[in-house]
Amino acid sequence: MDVFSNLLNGFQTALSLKNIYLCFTGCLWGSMVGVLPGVGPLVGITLLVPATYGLDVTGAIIMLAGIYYGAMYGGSTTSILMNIPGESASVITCLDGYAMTRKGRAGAALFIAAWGSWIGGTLSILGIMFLAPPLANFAMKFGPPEMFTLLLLAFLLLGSLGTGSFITTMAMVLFGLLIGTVGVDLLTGALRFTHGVQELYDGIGFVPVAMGTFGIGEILSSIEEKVTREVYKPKFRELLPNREELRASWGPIFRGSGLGFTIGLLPGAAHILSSFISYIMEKRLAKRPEEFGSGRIEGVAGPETANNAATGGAMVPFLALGIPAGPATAVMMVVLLIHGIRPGPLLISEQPQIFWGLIASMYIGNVILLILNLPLVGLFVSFLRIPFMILFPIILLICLIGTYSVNSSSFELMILLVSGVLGYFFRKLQYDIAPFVLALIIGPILEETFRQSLMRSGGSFSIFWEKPISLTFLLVACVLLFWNILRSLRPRQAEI
Amino acid sequence: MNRIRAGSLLFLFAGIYGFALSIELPMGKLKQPGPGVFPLVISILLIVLGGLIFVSGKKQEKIELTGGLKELWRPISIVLLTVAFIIALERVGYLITSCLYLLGLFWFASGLKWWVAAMLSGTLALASWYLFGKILGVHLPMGYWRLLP
Repeated sequence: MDVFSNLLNGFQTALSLKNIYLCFTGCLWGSMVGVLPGVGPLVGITLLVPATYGLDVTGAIIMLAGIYYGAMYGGSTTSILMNIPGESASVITCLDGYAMTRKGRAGAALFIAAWGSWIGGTLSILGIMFLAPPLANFAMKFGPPEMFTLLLLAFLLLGSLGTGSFITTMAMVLFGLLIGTVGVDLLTGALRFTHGVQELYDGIGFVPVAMGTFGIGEILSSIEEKVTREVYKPKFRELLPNREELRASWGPIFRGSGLGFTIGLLPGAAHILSSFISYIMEKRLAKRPEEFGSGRIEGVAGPETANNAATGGAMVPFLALGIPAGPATAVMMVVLLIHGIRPGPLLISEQPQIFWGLIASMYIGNVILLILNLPLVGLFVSFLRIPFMILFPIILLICLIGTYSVNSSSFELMILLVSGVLGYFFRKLQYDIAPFVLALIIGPILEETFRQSLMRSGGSFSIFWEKPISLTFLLVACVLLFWNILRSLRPRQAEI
Repeated sequence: MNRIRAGSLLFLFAGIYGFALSIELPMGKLKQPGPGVFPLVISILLIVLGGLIFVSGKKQEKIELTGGLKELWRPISIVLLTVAFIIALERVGYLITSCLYLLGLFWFASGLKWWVAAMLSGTLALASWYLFGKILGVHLPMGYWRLLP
């Protein structure tokens, strides 16, 4: 009952005119950035960070969350209509989504993608409501040793679930951790890796690195390819699926919801993983799996539901533990920190209006997205017709303004550019960028908790296994590490 | 040189750099670890993993990292124009710098006709100045001479 009374208070916050407007703005902007290939939710969120400075913290996080799940909705549009994923989680939707377009069933595919996303999003919000508060209460028992072992486990999970090999993903994590040590050491005041450059005393900012590696890196990589696009524009009356398609979608939608939410709880490429695993699961459960890839509605319903449900799952560790599960939630964490709020176990108890206001706005946002995405598909298709050669200078300029607006620093613009070049090479080398960026933001917390633990124990490492919670995390981390080492030593098997 | 080995060099370089600088930092004691401990451990692990990746890349086929210089001119021109933008921004001011930057991108990198590029860059520079500077309240530099608002 406590949950429902809190939720009612949350709706009181979310249903203010200002917050509805911010939710709508976030959802619309998120759908637009999700539709544009090369501009994912991370770039979309980061570009609007300057707009949050004049807002109160609840409004800011409502808008940014709207962009986050709006981008997941929008990403399916280009996958279905053009066979180009709007963002990485919609890659698998290209297979059956575009095949349905070629059969003249684009409208049905778009409808089911939006419908499944709504159901997945709504069910995942229920999951946040019932899981985040008890998890936050549990996390209040955490001290530095528990936090350290949990973050260690999170990084190993990142390595296990990343899109690349375990060793290269862990190398990216370590690279991010090393970059995260640049600046003044908060415990002793010592300068590390600054080379006398005053601008480096505060460390290397997360915003320019994230924008650079994801935004500018993507542009530098895409500009080399000469892609001609054929865009199919469905008529509004063609948007409804037939009875058979609706019936076939229910199972994948509900399975995708559970799967996506569960995988979203884990750090790493949750959206990509959830959509891929959903696709594989639906193919294995199908009576005629050989038809997948030729326009099966299950191949759209499951993955699109799963990637939207993963958005809700990713919010749980972010809100309850203060651990961002992906780059987008990491940017939201930065915005909360700018507003003087530290996400973590105390957020729900000390700032309930932020947590419950956000939950309520996510319900509202999901409805807004369902209403927006189908009638406005024509408008989104018009965006897709803008040649990339005209679009990319605008994106570059916005990345530069967005970065400059944080600290009015030209030095950070150079960091943005260097990160962009680095992101370009990471793409060429086919390295997963998300672990590097996540390690940059979580690394300082990992170091702080490690040193605090040793200070408490007088230098004894037994503090990490004396406490049951910490011991549990450590054991799971060890199992994960050994499993990954064994997997790396075995020859690779063919995958579906 | 194949892709895997090329990538491992980045990790090896970063690890060696981190190691060389970390050992000069105070290590403290176990009961009060100093600022050098964490980067030292990370650097050593990075060197080990970089080495493993390098060795594992031995049997891989050579893969071109880029399509050659012909395909690199666009990314290189974007990087050079962006460097020029960053250097000029606080000296010349946002409006002129962004206009010239966009002109360079549309004309050189996108290959648009000069007058189309000029129209687009002027319009977008003004629109972005108004949206970010006036509506969103972002501080945009006016330049040393404060020629334009």
